[in-house]
Amino acid sequence: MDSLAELKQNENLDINPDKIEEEIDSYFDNVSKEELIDDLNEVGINVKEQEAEDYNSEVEVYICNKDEEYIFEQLINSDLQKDESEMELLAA
Amino acid sequence: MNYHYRLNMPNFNLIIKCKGGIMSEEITGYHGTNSNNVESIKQNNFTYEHDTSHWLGDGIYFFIDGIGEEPINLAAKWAIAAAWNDDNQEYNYERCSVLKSDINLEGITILNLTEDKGLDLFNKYRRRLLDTLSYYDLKEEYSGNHGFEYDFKLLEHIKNNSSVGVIISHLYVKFTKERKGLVRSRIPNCTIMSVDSQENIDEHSIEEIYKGRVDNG
Repeated sequence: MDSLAELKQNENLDINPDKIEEEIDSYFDNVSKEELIDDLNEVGINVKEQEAEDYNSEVEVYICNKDEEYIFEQLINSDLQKDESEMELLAA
Repeated sequence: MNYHYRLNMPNFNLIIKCKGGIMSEEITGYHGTNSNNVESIKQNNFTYEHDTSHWLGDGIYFFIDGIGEEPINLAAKWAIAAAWNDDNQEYNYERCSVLKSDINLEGITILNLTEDKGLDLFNKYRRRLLDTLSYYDLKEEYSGNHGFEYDFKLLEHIKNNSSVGVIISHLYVKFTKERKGLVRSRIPNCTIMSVDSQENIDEHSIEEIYKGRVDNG
């Protein structure tokens, strides 16, 4: 083969086979968070362990009307509240 | 025995390389390098060292005929650009070469990121990774692959945990003029292939097909 176009047409080759997806599912279905972090460290991805609530735990949300006037301001203390408010934002 | 068939039809001109009448599973790749490395590569085949500046994870890299200029030109331009040492403001080597070689893809799992399915597989991997970790922090250090180390590491992680042995992707590569002009882009200008194992490269096929001075770039 001389080109990528010919490669794509070659049915004898194992290009993007379904087994890659199966391998991905198998890996993530069976790996623990700790094992995943170890695996990532092996390839140089350093994972800083933090509790989820420490990340963006407090967010100020401003929702505007069409005239760009603030209609309310709220402090958010949990991811759940954040998600709910994001939905409100989208609805607005 | 190798056969070359040329089909001449209106608006259609295709060469199909066959081995024993069966469509070849080898693809031709072009690798640019310091001319001083040529004899060693021809004798010992290609090798690679771990380097996070590699585009698609560690591997042996080839330009292949996909998008952009002819791959031989791209390999030569890359070897010229790579010769320049910005810290010392001088060339690391005076002459560069392009090596052409055949890569045997038989039995190798290929992740082809030039197709939607390949991109879907990569994105599924990235999504499942992010879903598993509530928070992560990539401590990125400048390596010449600034801003894209995460891709490198994810692809390394994919290769470590799957059967993938070859990765193909369209990519934006900065050659001499793009580097001098600080031309940044997300639009690919070439197609490259990363091969994990030298066993898939036919060392007898390695041939020097271009040699030139790097200061002509």
